[in-house]
Parts: sequence; C-alpha cells; structure tokens
Amino acid sequence: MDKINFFSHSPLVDGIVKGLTLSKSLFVSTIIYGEPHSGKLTLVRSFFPKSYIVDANNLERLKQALESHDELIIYNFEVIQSVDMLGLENKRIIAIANYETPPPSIEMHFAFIYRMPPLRERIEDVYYFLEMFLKEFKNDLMIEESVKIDIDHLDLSQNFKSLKISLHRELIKKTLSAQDIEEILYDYLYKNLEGKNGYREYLVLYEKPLIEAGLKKFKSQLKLSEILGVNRNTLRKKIHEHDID
Amino acid sequence: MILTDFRFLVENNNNPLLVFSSGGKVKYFNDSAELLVGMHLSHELFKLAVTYAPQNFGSRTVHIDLTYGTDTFCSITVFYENEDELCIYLYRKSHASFSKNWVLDGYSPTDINLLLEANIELFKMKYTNKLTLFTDYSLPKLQIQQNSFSLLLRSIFDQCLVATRVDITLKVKIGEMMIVDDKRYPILMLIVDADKKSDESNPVIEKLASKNHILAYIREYSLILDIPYIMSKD
Repeated sequence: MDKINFFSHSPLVDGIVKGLTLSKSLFVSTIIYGEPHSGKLTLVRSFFPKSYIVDANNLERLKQALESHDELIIYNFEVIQSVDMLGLENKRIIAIANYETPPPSIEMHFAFIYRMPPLRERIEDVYYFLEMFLKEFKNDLMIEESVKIDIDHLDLSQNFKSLKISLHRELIKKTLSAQDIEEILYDYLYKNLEGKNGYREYLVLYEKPLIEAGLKKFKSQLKLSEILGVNRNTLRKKIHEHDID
Repeated sequence: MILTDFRFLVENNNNPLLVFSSGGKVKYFNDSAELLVGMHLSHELFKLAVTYAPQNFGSRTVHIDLTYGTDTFCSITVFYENEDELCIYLYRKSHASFSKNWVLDGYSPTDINLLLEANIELFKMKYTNKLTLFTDYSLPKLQIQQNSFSLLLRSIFDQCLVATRVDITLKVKIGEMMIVDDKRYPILMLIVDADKKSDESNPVIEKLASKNHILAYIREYSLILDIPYIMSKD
C-alpha cells in the first residue's frame, strides 16, 4: 500500500494531528466530522495505514468487518441509522462522518471527537494546495509557461472537490489561444443557436467580456470608447444593456 | 449480662468518632477518624461539636452535609455526659457500590499520563485559558478501559469549559486503599480544580465513573476521581 501523507499548515488542524498522534497507540474510538471532501479520510489513513476501511453505505460489509476486526475505519458514518445495534463496544472505531454537528447519541460512542474545518477556514492550506495542484495539473496538461491564479476565482464551496474543478477551469482559461476561444465559441453556438433573435442574444458572449475587461483595464468610459472606436453614448448604452457595474 | 466488648466495634467502625476535652484537645479518636485528625481538622470538628451539642447532657443528631478531602458525611451525633468530655460521631455518606464478579473485559495496560495528555489536547481545542498539569510521569501502567475512561475525562473537562483556570493533578493517594470485588487496590487520584465550572451534579459523570469502578466526587470547584490502581488482571 502506498504511504499516505497528510499536509496541513492550519493551526485548527494541528490540534487534531496532535490529538491523533497522542491517541494513536491507545485503544480509543474517534470520530472526525466535517464537510465532505475536507480531507478527513486522508488524515485518518495517514495515521492508520494498516486499519481495515469500510464504507457505512454497505451495511452487510460493515457488519462482517465488525465481526472480524477489532480496529476499523468506517467512513460515511452519518448514514448509519442505529449505531447502538452495531455493537461498537470494545472495538476501536475511527469514524469519518459528514455531519455538521454530530448528534448527542453519537457523541457517547466516541471518546475523541474532532471537527475537521472546511477549506475556507484554512486559508493557509488553500495556498499550499493551490501550488501543489497547479504543479500537478500543469504537468498533466503539459503547460510550460508560468501561470498566475487568482485565489478569489477558486471555488471552495465543496472543499477539495470544487477547488480542483475550479483550478482546472482557471488553468485552461489562462492558457487558451484566440483560436481555442474561437473554436469553443463555435462549438457552443453550433449546439445552442436557434430561435428568431440569435444575433442579439449571442452577441453578449463577445460584447460583455469586451466591455468589462476594457473598463477594468482603462478605468474610464471615455478612454474605452476611444480604444474601441465607438461613440461614448453607444458604449454607455451597451453598458446599461448588459447590466455592467 | 452482655459479655461483648463494644469498644472493639467503636474502634473499627467505618464512621469517625472523636472525643474532646472541654478545652478542645483530642482525647481519643477511632481508626476511621485518623485521617481527619491527620488533616488537622480537630479544631474545626471541636467547633462543630460545640455548635451542635445538646443543651443538656445527652446526645443530638443533626443532618448536615460535610466534606473533608474526599470524605463526605451526611449527619453527626454530638454526645456528652459530663462537663469534661465532648464526643462527635460522623456518619459517612454511602458511595455507589460496585458489582461483584467484576470482569475486566476491555481493560488494557495503559500509560495513564499518555491517556490523560491525549484527553487534555482534545480539551484544549475548546478551552484556551490557563491550564496546569501536575503529575508523576513515573507511574507504572494500570489496567483501564481506555475508551470509557476517556469518555469520563471528556465529560469532566466539558464541565470546566467556562473556567479561566484549570489545574489538573494526578497522584497516588497515600495511606488509603480501595476495595473492588473483595480485592484491595491502591488509589490513583485525579483532581481537576477549576475557578468556575458548570452544574455541580452530573449523572453522566456518575454513570461513567461507576461503569469504570471509579469513585467520583463532584464539588463546586473541583472534580476528584479515586481510580483503583489495578496493575494486572490476575
């Protein structure tokens, strides 16, 4: 089995790591809860690489595992309806659950309860993983030039899952050529173009980013109207039409 | 005519008995009162006896909650039959009795300091005020149900979340033994002192303590555990 490493620079996660380090050799049950895709399973696997892992969604397999193992990692623990029926006494359970807050009935089964903070509460980690994933994705996509990613453009709503997806998108966007954009537009228009007012309806795909980028870059409608070679009133009309701030 | 010498029963009684001179000097104390005298409480006990003494010769029993160290009492009887001596007899509160045929299922040799430290780390994730730990790191391993004991510690520490200062002491209690299932064990004492803590009585703590064969004393500002120091399962 490959060695699993867990990285975090967050003081909030440090406490969990310290607690797990101390309790690793003790026969105590632990539950780590928090939002999905926040790194709970990776953390647990890095501490207990040899423990048997079972998904609570598969109840039959879970029951078999409980019969044959004294120590096991159970993930998706929140789906278990009646924990009392499982007979967790005298077993070392390391449970991973996507609870917001574990119910009190669950708390009494676990001596050690840790909350894994979501990525948006661990901004130090976001910077770290951004660098790590960026390197990995650039390698996959064979991108050689340097790319700067604005952290505000990344989606942390689903933790590592949305971070990776949004980073992929940002990376692709940053490296597109004019021809790529043309081809993307071509595919999009070919798929969606219909109705009676197509020209006006789809012109927004070009006009809106053009004006938004121009306003950000030149910071003045007067200057932008000169750059674009359009009348100031026409530009103002377009800004209003596309509801640009 | 009764031939039995009652003095033996008095001397070996589980409830403390002290006899004072009229000036407050201890003239006699039974085995059970030894610790109270050792704790320099004789003056306080004399004052208590004077306060609750009957107006005339004879005895008076008063229901009163008293706590000295880990000893708790529910009433006293003050008795005097002459001007020179005053007796006080203290009735111990009964503790939860531990079941017979104790099975050490799930008990394992444990480094109590490691277990305590892991629980303190968990507590420190929610409690950020002053905390001190005074312990003996050379304590030999003891048999304990690690998970259940940790649940007990968590419940105790949770009561101290409102505190601004928590002092934890772990030590072997000198001069006292604990009897569980007819076996005598030394006592490992855990004292958690806090300048503020939530509700005084806590059924969860009492239940978990009893499950672990531990005596729990819940006070206004402290929680004390008397843990049987079991070295081996034999």
